[in-house]
Amino acid sequence: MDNLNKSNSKLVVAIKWARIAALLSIALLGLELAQIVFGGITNSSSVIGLVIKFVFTSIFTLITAINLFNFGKYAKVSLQKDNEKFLYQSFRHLRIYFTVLGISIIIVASIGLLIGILYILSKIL
Amino acid sequence: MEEGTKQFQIFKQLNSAGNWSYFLAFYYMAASICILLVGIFSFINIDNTAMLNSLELSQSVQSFLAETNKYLVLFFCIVASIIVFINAYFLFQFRKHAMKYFLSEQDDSLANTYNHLAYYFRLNSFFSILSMLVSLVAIAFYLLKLN
Repeated sequence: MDNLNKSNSKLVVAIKWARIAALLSIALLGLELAQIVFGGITNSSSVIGLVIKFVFTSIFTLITAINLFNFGKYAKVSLQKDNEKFLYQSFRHLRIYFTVLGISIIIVASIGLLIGILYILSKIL
Repeated sequence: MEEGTKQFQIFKQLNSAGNWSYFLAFYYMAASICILLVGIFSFINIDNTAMLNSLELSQSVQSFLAETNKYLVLFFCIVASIIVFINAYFLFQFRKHAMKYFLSEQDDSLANTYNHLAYYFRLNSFFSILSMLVSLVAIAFYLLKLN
């Protein structure tokens, strides 16, 4: 019973930090938008690139942040109601969070590798 | 853990999250080594103008490297590498304990799983705050440039 309480208290800490991480990532997105606005005023030539980057970043950030929020929300409800259905939902969102992170890393790494290969080929040919 | 039970389904999700976190941990580990190598490479070649020219870096990057203290670059790379390595370590531990719980159902392992997950989110939050500070500095720079 003590061990179960210990794991529940650790889960509460994880929920708290998951929510903080999600909130901060959304706040960071807002700051990035401000950076584009101010950067665009001083250097308008690079605005299109920054906007494209921002669109992709915001999609990725929102998906991960929403899943982190939901992980926290359902885990908290499962602790309050002692219901396994909510714990299942909470871990499902945690799995989606890590899956999205993993897949986006695979995509970014593949694009980087492709650009690297094309760069080397352009030097050789 | 018995297959088909609700608890099995729950921890199957946790285990799947653990597997992806394992992949992320490997990626972070590789990134940590790369950052360290970039730091060492920059430290050795930052004064080598011919070498920098051969890399076809833009003028702004070259002038930035010329103005920056090479010890500062190395220090920054080492710190970044350590932080990314710690991130990888937490993810490794998260997966290890999740797997342990999946196989043995020891509640201590579950507590450790949540503990390392909390550490990972804590470090992520720290990263976000650091990035926010950098963004604020960049915005201040743009504003100063405007005036």
